[in-house]
Amino acid sequence: MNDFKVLTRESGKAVVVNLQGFLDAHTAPDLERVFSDLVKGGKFNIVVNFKDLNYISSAGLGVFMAFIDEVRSNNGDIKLAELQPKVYNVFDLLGFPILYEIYSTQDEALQKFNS
Amino acid sequence: MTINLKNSLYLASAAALAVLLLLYDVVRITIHLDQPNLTFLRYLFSILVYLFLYVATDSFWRRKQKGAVITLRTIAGLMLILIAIIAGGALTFEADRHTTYYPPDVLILLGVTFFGLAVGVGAITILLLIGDLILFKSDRKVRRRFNVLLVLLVSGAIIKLFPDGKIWSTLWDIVLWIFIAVTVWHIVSMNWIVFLSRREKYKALGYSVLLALLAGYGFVALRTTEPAGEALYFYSAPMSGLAANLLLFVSIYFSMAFFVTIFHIPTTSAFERKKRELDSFQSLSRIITNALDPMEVLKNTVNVIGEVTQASKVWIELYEDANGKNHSGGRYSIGAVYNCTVEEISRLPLGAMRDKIREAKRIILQNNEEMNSYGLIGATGKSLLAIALMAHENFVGILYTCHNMANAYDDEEISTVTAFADTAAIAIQNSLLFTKSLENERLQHELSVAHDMQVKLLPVSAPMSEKFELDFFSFPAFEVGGDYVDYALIGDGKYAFAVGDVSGKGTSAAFYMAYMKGIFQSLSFSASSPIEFLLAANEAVKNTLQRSFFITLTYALLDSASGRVSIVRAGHTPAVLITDSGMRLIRPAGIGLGMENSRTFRSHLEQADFVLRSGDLLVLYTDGITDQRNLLGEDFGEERFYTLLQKVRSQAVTEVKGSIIRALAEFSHGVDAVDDTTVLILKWK
Repeated sequence: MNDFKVLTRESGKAVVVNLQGFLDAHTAPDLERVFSDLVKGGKFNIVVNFKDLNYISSAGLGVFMAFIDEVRSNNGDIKLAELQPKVYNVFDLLGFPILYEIYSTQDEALQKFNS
Repeated sequence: MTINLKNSLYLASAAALAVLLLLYDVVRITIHLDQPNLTFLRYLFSILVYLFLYVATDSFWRRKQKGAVITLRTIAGLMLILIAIIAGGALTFEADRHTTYYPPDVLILLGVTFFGLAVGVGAITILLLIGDLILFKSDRKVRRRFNVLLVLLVSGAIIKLFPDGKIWSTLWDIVLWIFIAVTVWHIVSMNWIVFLSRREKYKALGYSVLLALLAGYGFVALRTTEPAGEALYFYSAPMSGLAANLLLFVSIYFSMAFFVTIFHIPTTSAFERKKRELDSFQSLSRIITNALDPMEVLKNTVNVIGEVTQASKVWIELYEDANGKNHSGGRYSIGAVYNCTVEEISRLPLGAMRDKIREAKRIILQNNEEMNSYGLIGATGKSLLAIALMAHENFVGILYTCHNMANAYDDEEISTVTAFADTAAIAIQNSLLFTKSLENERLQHELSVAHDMQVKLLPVSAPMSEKFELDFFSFPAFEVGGDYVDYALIGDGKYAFAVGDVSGKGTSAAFYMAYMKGIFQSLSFSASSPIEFLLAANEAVKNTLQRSFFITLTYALLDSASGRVSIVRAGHTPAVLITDSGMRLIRPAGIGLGMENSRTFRSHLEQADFVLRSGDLLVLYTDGITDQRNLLGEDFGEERFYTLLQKVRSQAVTEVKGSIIRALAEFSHGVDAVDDTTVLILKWK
């Protein structure tokens, strides 16, 4: 039930991170590793696609908080795209729309990086 | 000698009979009485004397013996005494070689009596001790053979009861020759020699020579044509037969023992080694079953292997895999060393061997060239044997043992070390499991303490007021959680309420929850407004929490005089207000505590204000309620929760609480909560 998958793929100047399944306290370390690898590899333009993510808990949200400072200080950003309404609601309650750019499509987010 | 009533009785009987015999003998030498029937009877009585003496002293000699060499020493000591007595007898008595010997006077008669008794007791005692020696670690065959010997000895003694005559002397000769044959046959049953150590064998050689010579002399001296033999024959013809035959037996037996021992000396070291291996194996098994400290087990294992195989170095590496799975990412650590140091071993280039041993299970290097192929030349010795430690299919480590000799590891040596390794592997696994379960138990205890502590951080009871009713609950999903609920009467009839949720779950969240309690209980009194409270709280949290942690919180300030409520929200779930006119979600803007700096935080912070009317219900909660799943994987969800609240709106707050708990239980149907669940219910009267 708590299946979670992360797929990354380069697209122009940015890297797209696809999330699938449930992101909670158990699966958050998986995502943390992916972000950590990206940052270590100098990839700071990150688009996270939430299309297939069904659930996110507060620990999952913490992962985004953990890396945003470092990414931004390297002139990059983490942009969020294609959030399901329920997941968006969680982000919204926390005030994420104030802190992160959220787009309804992945292309829009990519365009921001590639332009 | 244990002096008890029974023994004393036997001794007294023996003494009385001996005195009787002496009195009879005085008559016998005075008048040269030579009445065959009477003599026969007298000899019978002499047998009785010896029998009583034997029974009285039997227990004394038997229980004291420990080990073949000690028995041997005792036999030799007794034999020396016996032979000294016999020699003394040979010098004292003068036999006329043609007629039956009679002591010339009463004094000599006393000497003969003493002589007869002493030789008899000595012979019987030696016989008993030799029995112990021969029957040492023996089987049924040996026992039977020895019994045959005893029967022949007794038969000889009985034959001697009768006066010389053709039939009796022929019979005596037949018994004697059978006796000699059975004695020689004992050569196949010298079990006690096999178990002697090399040192003990040398001692046994000495004792055997001594015993063979002494007994040989004794046998010759006790022949009925010799003075000592004549004297003994006078005192007790049966005993003279028995003692002579016994001495003959001792002489032959220990002559054979001498040679058998010599033949066994070359095989001693091999036998000793096998025995040492077996002993070590037993002691290791014992240690393993008793020792629960893994390090102790390892230490004993390398020591035993080192000593048994006479290794130059032995050490065990423990393998710890990365995620409990058997992949190559594991770590090796040195568990125990014998005859070497941990530093020395850590410097060895063992990488290649470790990689290979996972498949090969065993690596044997027999000479410098082979050692060199692993880069180990000179470092450890000329031979090396490495064995994978496998416990229930799990690879738990590697045992290395080295030898200064080339080609040190033959099949036998390998199978010995492998047997040790197998036992050690299981012991390691067991003791690790045990340690782990102890550790788990300890952690379980710590967690239950933490749970109790956290329960104490929650308010003990709801505040009592004429204006409103309040109730709440907070259940952690595990032993401890990150949910927070609290209230404070901050003066002027004003109450502060808070419901919060630390991101993540478990112990780390629980610490921050306690931190949040501290913030609430101090800042809510000093903050001039709810917004000021949250600003100060954000500052405190931002500077303390790790970046990936944050706290969501709803803070409500109630003026109990007017029913006016001010609510601020830091990223938390909305407050639910249920009134006559329906339901309203109170959701002023605000980001979670610890996520942003004060400026950004403040610029997005709003406050919601409203006035409660009679019957209004205000509910603060955490997302553990709405995230509760059922068997189908569905959420309890906002809709279900809000509908429930509307339905139970008219109930008292404690009943509302009960309804929520019941509804969650019915919905989840046994599916465990994955998040902490907290609700605070306030009803305006």
